[in-house]
Amino acid sequence: MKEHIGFGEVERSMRGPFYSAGMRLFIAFYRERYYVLEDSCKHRSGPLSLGTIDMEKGTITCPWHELKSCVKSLVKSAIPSIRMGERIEFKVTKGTNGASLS
Amino acid sequence: MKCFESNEIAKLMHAYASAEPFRKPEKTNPAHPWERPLRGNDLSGLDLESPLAAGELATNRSLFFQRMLLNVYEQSMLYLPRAKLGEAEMQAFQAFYDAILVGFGEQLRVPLENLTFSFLDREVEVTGKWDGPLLEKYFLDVIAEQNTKPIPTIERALESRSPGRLFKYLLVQEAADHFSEASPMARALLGNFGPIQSELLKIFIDEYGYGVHAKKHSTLFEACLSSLEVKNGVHDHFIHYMPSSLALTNYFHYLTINKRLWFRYLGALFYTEASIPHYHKLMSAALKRVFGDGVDTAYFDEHVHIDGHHSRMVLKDLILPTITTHGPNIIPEILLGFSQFRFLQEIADTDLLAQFDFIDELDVQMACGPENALAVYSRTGEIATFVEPKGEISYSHIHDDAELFTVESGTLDLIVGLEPIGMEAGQAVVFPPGRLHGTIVTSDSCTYRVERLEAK
Repeated sequence: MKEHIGFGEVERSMRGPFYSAGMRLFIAFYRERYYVLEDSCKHRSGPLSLGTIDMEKGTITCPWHELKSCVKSLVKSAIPSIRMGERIEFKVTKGTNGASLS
Repeated sequence: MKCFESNEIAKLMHAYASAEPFRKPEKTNPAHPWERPLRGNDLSGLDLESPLAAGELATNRSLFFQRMLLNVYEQSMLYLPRAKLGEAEMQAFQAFYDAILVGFGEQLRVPLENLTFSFLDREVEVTGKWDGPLLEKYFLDVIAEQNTKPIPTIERALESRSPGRLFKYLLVQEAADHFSEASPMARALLGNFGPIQSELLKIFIDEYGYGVHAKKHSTLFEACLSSLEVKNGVHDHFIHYMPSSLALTNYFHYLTINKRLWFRYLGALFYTEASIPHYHKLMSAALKRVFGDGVDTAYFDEHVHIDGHHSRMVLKDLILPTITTHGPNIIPEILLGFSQFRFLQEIADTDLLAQFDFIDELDVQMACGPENALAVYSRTGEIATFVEPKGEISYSHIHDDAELFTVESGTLDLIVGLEPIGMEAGQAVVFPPGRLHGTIVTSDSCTYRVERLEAK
């Protein structure tokens, strides 16, 4: 289990990817709601933040190997967060999730 | 679910706003607690269909809705003046609680709540999987961080050349709530909802001073105002209430009258109880620093102590047991209440800081003219001229655009802070957009000119 070490803050316009305590995250806007998600495809940890969202099919396609993930499933495991206007506060967990893009 | 057509709402609002308690007053100081002017003449120009956005709280539309909503909520509560009811007061009492008028208000409540508070459901959202321990950590983390920071409104008032004036204005903004402190909690107590009902009652007992009137929190607040020679009758300062201050008060009525929002109420209650000890500690110290030993700070000192207990009680005895009983599905609602009120409080603080700037800036304008204030605007040449007799009141209101206000002949008082500001022929001031202001004519006749300004 990943260690919870506090709460972070990000502007919703940031979208991502951004880093928090070693975790690479991004903000997804799906069905009128904002979600903080781990920026890591379940296949080979590819950057979902750079993927393509198909709103009709409800999928996001990872740019690395074109694996499609169901957005509905992804948001079920979204990081606990609260948005107040432009600001999003989210649970910070210590860890790493895939290779750095930088 | 759409409950009314907009023309029905407009008709009801017209009927409500034109009732005796809500008409334009003869004086700026209300004669009794039931005099709550609504500026019904503004109605025809207001959009009654689109809910307010987060950025629209400091507008005349917001002011109109929030004033009306406060009146609607408070018609279900009893207000009596301290002095004996004379014939005129008895008529006013009957008029405020008139059954048909109360009925109109009840019909308007839901449309008004939708207009004023639905933006919170768009601007605040909770996502991800939360549980009780995570909620507790989040709440305590937010409050602990707040407790390390200064309060911007207190800091700003202390920096003013006239800090006493701004602190009195700040107290008056809080008065909308404190005169009836914990009345929404009384509404929340009704029914039968298990052991937490009794836990809430324990908090309520403190709020109402254990049946000792001198200890009741609203009484302590009235004593504070009195020690500063600020009028302390219920809603004596209705004319000065800013829409964002009214929104803070109305939000708790909104949560407690709508039982579906009960879990949200728990979160909002924790936020306010947990925020107050730090705020009131700084407020008490600031009031003593500005006004000396003569100020009665018992209201604030009491909250520093008792709300330390209340925040613990709300979390440990109300929220966490509720989650244990009803499961994690209610957690997003509790978080929403906490965050919506926090968001609303931030908007209200920003609005009050802007009003403080306006009040202080008026000193400069009165002394040196409006040139500096005009520098950020372009003149439009769109001018309206008004000729008004002695005693004519332009009840406090807000403009979406800036205005250059010039007295051409006669005299009047500006109603901005608690002390009127006299203006005479040849004097002019700029009203920035979003700033609450009014006027009363003090000479036999007064002619003034208003020019709309545009931001450069």
